[in-house]
Amino acid sequence: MTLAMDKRRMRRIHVAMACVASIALLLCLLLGWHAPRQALLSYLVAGIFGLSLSLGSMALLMVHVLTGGAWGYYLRPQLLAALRPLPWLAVLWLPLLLGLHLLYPWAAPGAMADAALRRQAWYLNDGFFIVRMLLCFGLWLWLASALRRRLDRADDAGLSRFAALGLIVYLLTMTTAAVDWVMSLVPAWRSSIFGLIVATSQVLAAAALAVLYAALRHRRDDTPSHPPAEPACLLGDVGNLMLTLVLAWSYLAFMDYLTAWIGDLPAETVWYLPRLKTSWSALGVALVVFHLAVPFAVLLSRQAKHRAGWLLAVAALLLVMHYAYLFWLVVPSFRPGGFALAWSDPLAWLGIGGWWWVVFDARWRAVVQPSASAARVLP
Amino acid sequence: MTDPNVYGCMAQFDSAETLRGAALQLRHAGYTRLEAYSPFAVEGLAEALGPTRSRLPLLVLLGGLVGGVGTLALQYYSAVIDYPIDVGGRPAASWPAFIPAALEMTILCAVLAGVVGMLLGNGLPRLYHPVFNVPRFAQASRDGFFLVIRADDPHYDSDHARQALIDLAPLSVDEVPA
Repeated sequence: MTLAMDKRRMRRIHVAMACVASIALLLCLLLGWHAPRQALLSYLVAGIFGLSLSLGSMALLMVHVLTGGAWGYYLRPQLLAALRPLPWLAVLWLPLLLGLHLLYPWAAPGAMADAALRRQAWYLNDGFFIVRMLLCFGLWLWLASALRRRLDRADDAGLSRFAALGLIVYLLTMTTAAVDWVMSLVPAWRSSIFGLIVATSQVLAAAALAVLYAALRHRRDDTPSHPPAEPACLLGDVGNLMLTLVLAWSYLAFMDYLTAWIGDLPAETVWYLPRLKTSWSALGVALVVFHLAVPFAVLLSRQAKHRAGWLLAVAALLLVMHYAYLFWLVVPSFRPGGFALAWSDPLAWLGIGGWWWVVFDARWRAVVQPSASAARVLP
Repeated sequence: MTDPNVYGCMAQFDSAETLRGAALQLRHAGYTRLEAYSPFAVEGLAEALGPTRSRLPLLVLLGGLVGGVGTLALQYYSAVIDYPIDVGGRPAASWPAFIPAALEMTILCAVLAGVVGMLLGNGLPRLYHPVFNVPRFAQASRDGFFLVIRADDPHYDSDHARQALIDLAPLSVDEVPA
């Protein structure tokens, strides 16, 4: 009875959120009339944010197939639910194709007058870009659905081989996508580690979301189905997982900065200069403090890791900081005057993030509360 | 009163699960100074033996901090104060380049503090331990699961401890001479 009521309440929240998200996307479109390039930037950041959570979850599921461990079964409902919005994201990517010429300097009308851009044109051209984008999304959609199908089967002999290959494909496609969608915004910039950094941050964001939901569920004891076996110990395990991912992301991101700093060459500094020599550097400091120092310090403590409340706070912080990190990756090169927000930034985030959440949350609830759907069938 | 010639009372069990259960029951009976020995790590056994407050995490943290901050200070001293060299016009205090060495030294010093602190804390390496006075204890490295109630336990009484162990249906019970 209460479960059914809860379900109705959640449905209302989902519908409301979907409406809010749709309105936000419409407003984004209106703003796009006014300042198309800034709106497209906001949209790109929000799109990659949604993609991060889905693809990171896919990577974590495949890592778990290879390593095993109770943490993976604990997080699995969230990770599987996070795969659901992936086809929607592929649809939401289409407006970016329409705005290609506004967003990317190499696709801008006068680009071929620039000798450096002409040299890059064999790779950075409209046709090849779209082919790569279709290939990446095609591979991701195939990997996600195949993984879901194979995980549903009780025993699958080729599962670990599939997961190992899938991880390799994920890294290669993510590097391609990160170079195309983010790095080519500054065509003079290069960094061979960039794809790996983005992939690591995606896995971190996905882990943070999964832990957030696990901790929420741990705090509210109204989900009698699927009781977690040893929650305190498992909370510690997933806390350690987040700690490791925080360190891995920080290490890779710092190594990229260190090589740019030591090399001091235009191909690398062209990207860092607008970020460090203007008021955007405040965002960089915020990333060091809230994406590394604070989560690291909290997750070092065993007491904190065994408390759902603390884990909840750290996971929420990491999710917010992942958005800040993507913003840092994409936006400053196009607002070189210093830190600036556009109206389209929160609207695009609300629009894409809201739809992502509705699809994810509805799926997640259907998985963890099978008794609720069963109760609905009964009179 | 406790006999200075007695280290404690030892019981052998047939499996890891009974060992863990026995440790839990003795804890409930009020014993706090328990020791368990098994041929392999038994999950949940350490928790069953009772809460331990270890100062080791603090020591590891301090070791790491000393290593990291010390290495940063050393690099600053050598590159800025003692022997400044102009490398391609970069500042003498090149903090980004100082960090990798500081990170490595943080890990090294934290690990060394942990290992040395662990050895100092648990008294290893140890040439003599009373539990080896019981001949069958050699099985602890093969297939024996042993539980010891130490004589310095505030609840310890020779007869009561022996009876408490016998009540747990062990394979054998021995008094351990000190």
